[in-house]
Amino acid sequence: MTLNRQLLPWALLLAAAAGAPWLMEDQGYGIRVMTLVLLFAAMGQSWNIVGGLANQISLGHAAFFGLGAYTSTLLLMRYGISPWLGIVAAMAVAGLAGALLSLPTMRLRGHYFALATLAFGEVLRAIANTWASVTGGPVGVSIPFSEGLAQMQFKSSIPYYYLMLGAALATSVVFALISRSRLGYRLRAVKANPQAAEVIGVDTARTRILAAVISAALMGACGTLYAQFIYFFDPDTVFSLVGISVRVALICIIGGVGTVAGPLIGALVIIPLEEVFNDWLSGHTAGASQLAFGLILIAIILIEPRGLSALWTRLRNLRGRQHA
Amino acid sequence: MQFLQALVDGILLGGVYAVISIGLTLVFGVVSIVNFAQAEFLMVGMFVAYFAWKLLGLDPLLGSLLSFAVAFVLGVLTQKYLINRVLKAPAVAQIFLTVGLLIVMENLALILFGSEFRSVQTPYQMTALAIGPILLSAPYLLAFVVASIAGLALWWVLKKTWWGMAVRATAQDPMAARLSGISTHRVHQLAFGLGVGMTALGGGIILPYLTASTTVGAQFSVLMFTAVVLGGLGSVIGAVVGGVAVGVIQSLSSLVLPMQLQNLALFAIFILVLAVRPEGLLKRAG
Amino acid sequence: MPDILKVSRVQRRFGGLKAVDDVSFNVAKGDILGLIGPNGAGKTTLFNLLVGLYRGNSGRIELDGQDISRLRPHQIAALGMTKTFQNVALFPEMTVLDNVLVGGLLRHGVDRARQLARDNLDRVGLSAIAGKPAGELSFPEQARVELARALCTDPKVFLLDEVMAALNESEMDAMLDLIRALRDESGITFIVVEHHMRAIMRLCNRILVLSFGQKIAEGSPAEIASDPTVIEVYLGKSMEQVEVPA
Repeated sequence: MTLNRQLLPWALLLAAAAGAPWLMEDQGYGIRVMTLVLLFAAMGQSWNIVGGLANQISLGHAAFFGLGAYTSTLLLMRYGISPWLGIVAAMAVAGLAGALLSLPTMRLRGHYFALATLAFGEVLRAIANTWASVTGGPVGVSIPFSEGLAQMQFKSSIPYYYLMLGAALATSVVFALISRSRLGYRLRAVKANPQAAEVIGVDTARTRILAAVISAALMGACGTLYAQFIYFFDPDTVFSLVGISVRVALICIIGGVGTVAGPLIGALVIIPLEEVFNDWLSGHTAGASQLAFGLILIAIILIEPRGLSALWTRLRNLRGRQHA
Repeated sequence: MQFLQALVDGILLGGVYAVISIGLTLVFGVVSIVNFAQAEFLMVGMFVAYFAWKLLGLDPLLGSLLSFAVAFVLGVLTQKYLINRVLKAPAVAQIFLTVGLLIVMENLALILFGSEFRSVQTPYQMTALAIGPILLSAPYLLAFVVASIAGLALWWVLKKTWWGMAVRATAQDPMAARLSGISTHRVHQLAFGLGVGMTALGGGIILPYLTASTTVGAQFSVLMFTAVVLGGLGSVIGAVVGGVAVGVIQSLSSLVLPMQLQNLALFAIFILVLAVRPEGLLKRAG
Repeated sequence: MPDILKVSRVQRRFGGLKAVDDVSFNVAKGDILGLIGPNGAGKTTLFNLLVGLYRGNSGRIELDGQDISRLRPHQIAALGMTKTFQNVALFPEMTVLDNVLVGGLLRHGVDRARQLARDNLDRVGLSAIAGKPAGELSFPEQARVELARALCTDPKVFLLDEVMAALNESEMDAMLDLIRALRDESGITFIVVEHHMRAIMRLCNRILVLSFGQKIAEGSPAEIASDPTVIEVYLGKSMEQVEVPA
């Protein structure tokens, strides 16, 4: 009974989202922004698993994103492997990277963890830039256009929209399931008090690694989807600290870290806002919209240093509680 | 022979990395935050020195002093009006504040200066000093010398001046320092200013052999953090040792590893030290 | 009864200090062993060694015939030994029920663990506050939640670190009854660290005395009460005032 009532608003939301593209102009600006919102929401959910449940602030998720993008794209361009298979490979590669990174960083908290993950992302970016023989170097890769479901490439914007909607849905479901599962409880326990958790039988190491692998794999999948959507990318884009890592973390934090709705709300707020800025400012100079982004970020933190979710709670309290 | 040359180059570069990294560790040791925007101050230093050269004809090695001064002021203001507000906030807020600062600084520079690469020309740029079979490239050598002088100056300030001792006291035991009448606020400002000032100075002295661009921060970020972690976050001596170590590792690894793996080698060391001995390879010198 | 826990020559140093120095003892199944000693005697360190939070510098610990000296805490919990923390270690932002639930996840899925959690909360008399965030509880309440949580791991050997601190008379009696009931009904063996001498004397069938990391006495309550070394080191005159059950 309660489950159905809980799911009802989500079902409505899903229906609205499914119908939305038909109201917008194909190939148009609106649908493009919404598609990106959905993709970033999916990325946010991936980050949410580590950042929200395990409470470890990762500033290096771009590493997994980039690994995913390059894996599937290289498989496509060199061996003609369909992106639908490539995405699986992307998840495997990214997941493995997540496990490898998780091992030495397991006991790190706060600044140290952020630092380690940031360094990881930056190092991969540097490697991708220098290893031209494999990645094409700073020039980037271009996916030749070849339309079709099998190739995960479409002329119309609408299939892309649904692709990203699927991603947002899938990652949200994964997050919700994990949250309610043994892994979710264990993650929250480990976050609160790792020693106490160990003593009552929680394998803290395995718990953290598992969360890292899932988070990384999902992020890698998003990388593939991005590559297929955008046709062209370079190391500085997909391994970007600010454009991917920071953005994804912020989407989650602003929307409400550790909740299913968080990344969805965050993406819905941040992406369109950025696009508006981009339009408004970058017409003039490169970097202006990023500057605005940075200034707003600083402003938000100064207004509510206790954390953006605390700001959210403050705002919610102002408007009156709507959910119990 | 190649080994020796690489070793010497590594030490010369390392000395500069040391000066750049000292700033980061000083900030962490005293203010207890990781300044993710530290490398942007390097960029600021580079540009100040560049324009000092372009407009005043000042050699970058001297211009770096100006870089220090400018960054010092910026640092004090940043600490006073920004960092100070999040000192009691959760790590998330602190992390994203300095990340936000990183974004603002890099893009502000991009807007003001554009994305072209700029280099200086100095009379000694192409020369080298020959000691036996080893060539000491002049820009490397001079940068190293200036870096050493700066390092010693900082050491002198920290050891022999009242404010320097106040900084060290606050780093070791903030409560006791406050009870002794030391103004924690002023110490934080001083430490932050000194910290970013040193990094900016580093930016100035590498100008003769590196091009200035708004993205130079990213190049040095990982280097800096590795040096600091190796030596122990918070330890100034550690930053020196770590900086030289990073220089040497980088230089030697270029002999045996292809470029793409050099970065990985550095990162592997960084991660290993963080994982196994986050307090650094040296005991904290305080 | 056979020995369920065998500790031999366990030592743990911190720098130059021997927090636990060459301690050996055996615990039979069904024992309630009291572990007493002045503050700093090494009781909590010994507990941490037993559950694997610390690794001994030397010595051997055997649980039910299996060497657990090198195992990690979660493995030892799986084998049946767990402890509560002296200063209580709940997960403050999770509800009481969720806290206890985590204990059950060792051997069960979420739903079964939740049911088990409800049962054990009932056993410690805290069903009413199952939905409260654990951080908002009083200290004695938190201690009981922690006990319920550890109970969910279905332990064979249960180490209790000062669960009776800050309890009043009747609360303490209830706790003593609970521990005895758990021993009688579920066959759990207990090692109890307490400063309440009365509680120890009434509850335990054997007592171990530590001082400066070393075992200085071991025996029945009557033996301990009349042991001059113990009296001298630890109890002083108060021992004569404590009644010892026959």
